[in-house]
Amino acid sequence: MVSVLDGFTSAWVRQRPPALRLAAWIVAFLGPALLVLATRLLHWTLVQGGLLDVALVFATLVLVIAIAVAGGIRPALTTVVLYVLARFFLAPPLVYQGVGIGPNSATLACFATAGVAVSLLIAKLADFGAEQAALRRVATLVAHSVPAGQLFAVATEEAGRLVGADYVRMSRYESGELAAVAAWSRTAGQFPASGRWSAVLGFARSFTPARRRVRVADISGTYRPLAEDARAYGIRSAASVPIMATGRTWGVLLTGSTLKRGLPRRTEGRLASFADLLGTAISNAESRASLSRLAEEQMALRRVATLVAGGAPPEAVFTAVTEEAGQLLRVEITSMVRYESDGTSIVVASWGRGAKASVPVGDREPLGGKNLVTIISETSSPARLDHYDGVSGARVERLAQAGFHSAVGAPIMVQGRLWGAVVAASVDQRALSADAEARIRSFTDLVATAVSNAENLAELTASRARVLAAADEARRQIERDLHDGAQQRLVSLTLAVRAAQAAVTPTSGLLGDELASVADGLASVLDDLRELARGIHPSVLSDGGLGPALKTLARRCSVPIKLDVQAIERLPEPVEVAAYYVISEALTNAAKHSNASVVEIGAEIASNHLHLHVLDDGKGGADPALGSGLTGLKDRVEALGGTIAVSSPAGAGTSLDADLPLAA
Amino acid sequence: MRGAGGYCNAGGVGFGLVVVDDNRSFADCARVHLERQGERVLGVAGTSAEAMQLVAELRPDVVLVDMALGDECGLDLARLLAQPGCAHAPVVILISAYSPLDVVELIAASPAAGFLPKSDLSSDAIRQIVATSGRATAGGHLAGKNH
Repeated sequence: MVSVLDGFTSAWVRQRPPALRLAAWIVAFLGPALLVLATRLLHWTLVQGGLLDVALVFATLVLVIAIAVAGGIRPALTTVVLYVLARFFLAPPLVYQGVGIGPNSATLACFATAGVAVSLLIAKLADFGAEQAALRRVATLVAHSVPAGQLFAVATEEAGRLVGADYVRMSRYESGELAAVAAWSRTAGQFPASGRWSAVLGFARSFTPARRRVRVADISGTYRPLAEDARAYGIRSAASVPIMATGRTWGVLLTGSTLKRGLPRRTEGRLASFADLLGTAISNAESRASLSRLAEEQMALRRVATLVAGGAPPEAVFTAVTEEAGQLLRVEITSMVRYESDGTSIVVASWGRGAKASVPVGDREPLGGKNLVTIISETSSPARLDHYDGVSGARVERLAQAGFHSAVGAPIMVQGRLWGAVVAASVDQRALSADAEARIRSFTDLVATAVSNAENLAELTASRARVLAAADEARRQIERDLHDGAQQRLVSLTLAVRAAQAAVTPTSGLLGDELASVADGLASVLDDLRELARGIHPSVLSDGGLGPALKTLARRCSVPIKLDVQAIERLPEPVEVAAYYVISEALTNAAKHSNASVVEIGAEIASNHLHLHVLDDGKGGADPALGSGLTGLKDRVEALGGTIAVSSPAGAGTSLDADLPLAA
Repeated sequence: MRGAGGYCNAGGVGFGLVVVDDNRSFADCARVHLERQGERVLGVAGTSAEAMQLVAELRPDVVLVDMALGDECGLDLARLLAQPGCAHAPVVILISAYSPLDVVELIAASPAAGFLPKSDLSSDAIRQIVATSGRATAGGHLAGKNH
């Protein structure tokens, strides 16, 4: 009987202040005695005391209720038993004129039954109320989104007090281990809220596959860490429930008791209520966190993707990726390496928080040893090192010495081949989150796109430049052939005709005139041919370079030219040709469309670039989309990695600026 | 200049000329033309090296240098010939099949005494350039440093 009752009362009893419990016990013993004494006094002094006597029985019932509320079921039942016994033996029923007028045996039996029932009911109600109150307090914290640490601390304490445990510990599963997140002990400050235990074997393992509750009556012979706890804190029995969150076993709520009789029966059920509440709170927090983390990740990725889409230089993308990935993964260092054909890796970007150590850009190291860069180079797959024990390689050893503890990395695959890797290292003792690789991966995909774009662009530019160079060479050759062939023959013929002219005598009639006409005709054909050849390729450019070629252009232009060309030495041929055509086209347009009175041409070399500037004072308003002639120029300039811009506001002249890098 | 007398050499002795041109047919043509006008074409060279050798051997008064010497550049040869260190310093006249308008910048930068379009090659034109170069005497004899 007592053990059954104990199941739902002992916990509540242990929640009471000891003074209150002591008082309840004192009243439990003194109360019946005093009441029976009062009854005796009634019998002696009052003839008509029967009704009062019955009232006293009911007063006793009220006392039992009070004791049950204050001290629990044991003192209440004690009161009932003591009162019935005292009444039976010490205060026999009052008989008046042969008729019993006070409570008889049947009345006492009724009293006893009612007392027990009321005690049980009160105890149960109070117990239930206590449980609901405890859960409500925790639920209120959940509703107010208090920090997880605080919530867990309060929940362990409430659970401990409710089930009457001496020790409570809440732990979570983290990559195969149980790690304490909160603890409470009845004696303040005894039970540490830290520690990690392997969850692979033993006690805790039984939670993982299914939602099971475990109770161990004597834990000294079980799971070793628990047994150690048992010895250290005198824990005799334990009960545990899993905490389920987002459909998986998140962790464990473990309670221990030092009492010999162990934890009450309903302990697991009540712990389960807490575990449910905690599980829901954790699920909510996790989905909130994962949502905000997802949003954060998406924003970081979008920032990088915008860079990539905008055609930013790969170096800018690399730097952005190391920083964004570092911030997102909350690590202290991220770096990006490129694998070189000579079996080394070179750091192309790096980011660090707090400057504990750094991975300098440009640092080159041969592959080999136990480090992520080498592992990834061998597997072309994401990899992680959950601890830096036994790592080798200069870079990683420096990090290990600086207190770094773990790392995760992913390869950068460009069009199916391994190009490089991004590695993030952390000083945290805990391993990086399980999805860290996947998160780095989404960045490395962007890097791959950027690299691929840059390579394609470089190839395209190079091929464009090659096509142009080949065409230019062909034109140069045609011009040369014209000059060396037809032009020379015509020149020779002209000279021959001149010689013939010199031999003409006055008797030859019209021969002199005819020869003169032939010579003029030849000269005219020669001029036409020169004009044609010049259009195909300006020979002065290949013979004299850009300076003389621009002067020639200026002289031939119908609009007056102000030429400001610094002494320009010979430049790479593609640059000379492009610059020549840029100026030539600008002058042609100025002469045709602008009504300009003067055109200024500037050419200067600065920081290994050729800057060209053409400005006229004409009517402006030229098509900003560039005419077909200028489109060809744009192709030509961009093929060399240069830029060209035309500005032509109506009424304010037209200006053209081109910039050509001298080194390819 | 078109008159027969115009081609006569006033002093009776023509300039000693060397023609440098890789286009043999033009060089021959020019030789005939100029000799008919009374000049003495001492030799014809097709390359810079040949030209230097001929100039050293024949000591001409005037060297006509084609600006486009095959793979070589006539302007470079003109610079070589005009060097103070050159044993014999003839008057260098650049010639070309190009229009003067196309090459005037190159000529301006060259130490050559003048330029003649190939189609306008004549004794008179040569003499005019020599005269303006300030190295010719009234009799056609050069007043160069080596004379």
